[in-house]
Amino acid sequence: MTASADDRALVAAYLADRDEASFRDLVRRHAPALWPLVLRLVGGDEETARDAMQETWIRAARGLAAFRWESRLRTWLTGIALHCAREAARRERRAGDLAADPRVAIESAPAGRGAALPGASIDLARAVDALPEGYRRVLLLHDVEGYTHEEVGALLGIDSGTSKSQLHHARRRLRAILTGAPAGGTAAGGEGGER
Amino acid sequence: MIDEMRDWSPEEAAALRALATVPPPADLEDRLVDALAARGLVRRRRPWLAWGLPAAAIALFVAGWAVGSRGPGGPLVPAGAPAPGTRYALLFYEGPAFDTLPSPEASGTLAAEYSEWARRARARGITVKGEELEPRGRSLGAESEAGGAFATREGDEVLGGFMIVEAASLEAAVELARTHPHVRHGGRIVVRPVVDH
Repeated sequence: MTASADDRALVAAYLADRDEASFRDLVRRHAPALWPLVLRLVGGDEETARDAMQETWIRAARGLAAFRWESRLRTWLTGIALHCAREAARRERRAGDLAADPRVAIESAPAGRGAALPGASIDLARAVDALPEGYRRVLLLHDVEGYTHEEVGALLGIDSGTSKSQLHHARRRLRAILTGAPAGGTAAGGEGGER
Repeated sequence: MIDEMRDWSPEEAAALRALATVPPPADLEDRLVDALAARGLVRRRRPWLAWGLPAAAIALFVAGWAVGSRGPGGPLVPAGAPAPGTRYALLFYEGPAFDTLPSPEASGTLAAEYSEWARRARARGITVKGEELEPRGRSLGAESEAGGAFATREGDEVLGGFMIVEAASLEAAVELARTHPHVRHGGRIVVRPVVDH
């Protein structure tokens, strides 16, 4: 049975009577992939990430009956998680601060679990957390999660060309943060995102 | 998936992808279930466990499903000592009454009653062995989707566990099962003789 078929069977079992076991199976299949994304999207704060995950699954549970399987379930869940993480981060008044001044994030963000790259002054997770929000979202989806630019564009409501441009700037900014070098350019491009 | 990572060295690209492997907190799944159950988006199948009983209460409940000893007869046992080797399966079905319980206290009471029944059975010399079943699994066979999600419900009921007891006769086993609090709480117990080969 394919992964998609497994998802369909679990969703059908869950929707039949809101069965707890089926829901747990869905969580076990998809939460391990959603969690690291959400954690980085909210800047590394675990409690904020928990709130975002909770809201993600609440919305997913409410929307599953209307899900038409025109995309993978994982992609659909990721789209919800992107929205919920953004809202949770904003509630915590973190996203704007991090985007405005990466140095603040570097000093205040909880320790991440990223690798300490050769020549880097901070670990990778904290450096990603310090990226402006728009840059961070594109970089996480493309370079960490492995989505194509077309998929990133669909998830964020931008075209694939914008995704490529954002990714280029995100990588430059990330390298600058990692090495402590001036970033060059402006953070304005990272403030975009969903239309 | 990834169409180009040329701005990164292989080590950097691997380090970035490793960010996607941070495991979620161990308690996240339970928190999600709690949150959805509170909103009516998940129906709990194990209310006495899912309500978060103290460890001691859970241990008592588990003991209720898996005990075994032998002793003198008594009120739980119909007249006549159980004949060694005469075994009966007690199948515990849970109906809609088990979907919700009013409070953690009520859940604790239920667990205590099950455990007390097991303790009394043990004190009366009844061999009882049993297991509780998780409300999930996989279903195989001609009428099932191969490897598909297990249809936990059979009509309005779920098979929640089973016991193997020794009794002198089917009638005696039925009388024993009738005393179990599961029946009083709205559950159903099916008593089936075990074939001894």
